[in-house]
Amino acid sequence: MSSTYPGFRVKFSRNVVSWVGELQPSAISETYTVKIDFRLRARPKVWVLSPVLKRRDPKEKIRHTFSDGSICLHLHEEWAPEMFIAERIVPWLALWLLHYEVWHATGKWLGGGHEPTARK
Amino acid sequence: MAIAPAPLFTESSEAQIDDLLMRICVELQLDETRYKLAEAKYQAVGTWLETQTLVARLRPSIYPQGSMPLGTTVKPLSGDEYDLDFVCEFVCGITSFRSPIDALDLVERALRANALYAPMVQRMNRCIRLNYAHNFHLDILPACKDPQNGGSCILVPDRRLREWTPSNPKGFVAWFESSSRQMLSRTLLERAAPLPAQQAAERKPPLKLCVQLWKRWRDNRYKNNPDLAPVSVVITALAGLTYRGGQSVSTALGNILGETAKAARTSHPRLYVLNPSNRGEDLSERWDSKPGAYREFVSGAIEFEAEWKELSRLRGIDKITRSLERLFGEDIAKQVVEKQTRDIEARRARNELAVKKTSGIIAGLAGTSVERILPNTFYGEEK
Repeated sequence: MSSTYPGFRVKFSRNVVSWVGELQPSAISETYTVKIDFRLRARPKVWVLSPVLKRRDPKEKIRHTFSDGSICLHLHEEWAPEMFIAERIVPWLALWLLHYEVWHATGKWLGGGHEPTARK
Repeated sequence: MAIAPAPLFTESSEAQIDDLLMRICVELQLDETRYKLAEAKYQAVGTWLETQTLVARLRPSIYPQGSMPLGTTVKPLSGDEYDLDFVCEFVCGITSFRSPIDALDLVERALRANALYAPMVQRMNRCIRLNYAHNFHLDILPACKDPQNGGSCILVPDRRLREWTPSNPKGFVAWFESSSRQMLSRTLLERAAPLPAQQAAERKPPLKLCVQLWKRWRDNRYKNNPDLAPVSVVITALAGLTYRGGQSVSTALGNILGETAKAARTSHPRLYVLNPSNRGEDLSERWDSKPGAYREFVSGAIEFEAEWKELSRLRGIDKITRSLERLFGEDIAKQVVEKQTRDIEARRARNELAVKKTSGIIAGLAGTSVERILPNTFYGEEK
């Protein structure tokens, strides 16, 4: 990961290897500090540390985020542990950040994707 | 050996803003149907005037002036009204008329002699207007040759209609074209000169796009008090005079506004904008009788320049969109950001996107240090 993305810094804690780095999805976009937690036998968890993500409307959740605030970048089946984070997650995260800004600008999420139906 | 494709506009802030500005100009263009309609009506009236007995002996030369031959037309902010101005230049000198009013009377009579045009004729201050259906009108300005200044210089009725005043619309168009570094392929010296074909925004030289954007800013800024708005010919002349070349619209407009604001701040009693091809013509004469409009022009130019500088420093597509909304209008700003994003998505669908490894910037596949973006679907809930 560090060799692919030289700007990212690595941290180790109990079961998690975290990478923290900065992404700017387009030349006129903000620069975001992001964190990717790589956990054993589980999908990575992706966070945007700063600037803090905001809703457009207090009642409307930010698109494609989990209830814990982490970012959802792919369907379950699009990930397997043997995939390299660098190869997949970081580019998807950059794209998500671009669409997040455009959603704030226009009110429209133009990146496609699924929102699950609500579970009772 | 393959040639590397150009970088994607997302890789440079200037390129990305330029892309948005160009898309704004695309939205501002008069649609091709209406352009061609204007052209057809203009040709018809021109032919009538050339052959109508009352005026034919004066061998009128008919040619367009204003935003259509300049290539700087912008759609009105609201409503549908659009127009075409043209000159009806007689071969005689001003002494053939007792006064400018006579020349206007002549053109009016010539038009009323046609049963089709008679109900559409409206006498305006300095010209004769033909009001067509679908919110289109033609304004016809009578003129005589100006032998003292020669060339394409003419004399036209002044505002008070007591005197003739110098003008040079052909010279102005030719000067503007050369300022934008592109010569007209046809001269406008023929009879009933054809209207140049409308150029797509994507192929327009940056100077013309700058004028379109400035005019749109004006329309938006003064929508509630149009009397205070600077006139188009002054905007066009200032842009042509201060343009320093270069391909980037955002940089060019910044330079144009910087020079204009500086000139406005330092000119006393006021800035004079003379026709570069006929310095006897003060394009800004209106400011003499409307000092309030001049003060508005100065403060407006300073405000626009400051906002433009700020735009180049902003980061965050949402913040930039807000700035474009303030400058050019809410709907148009959102539309172009949406279209730009859909363009990026179309490349994503064709697997043509990557990110730069040092910054995460979304980029094309060319270039070093990029990681391809593989297909994915954003999702919402944990399974």
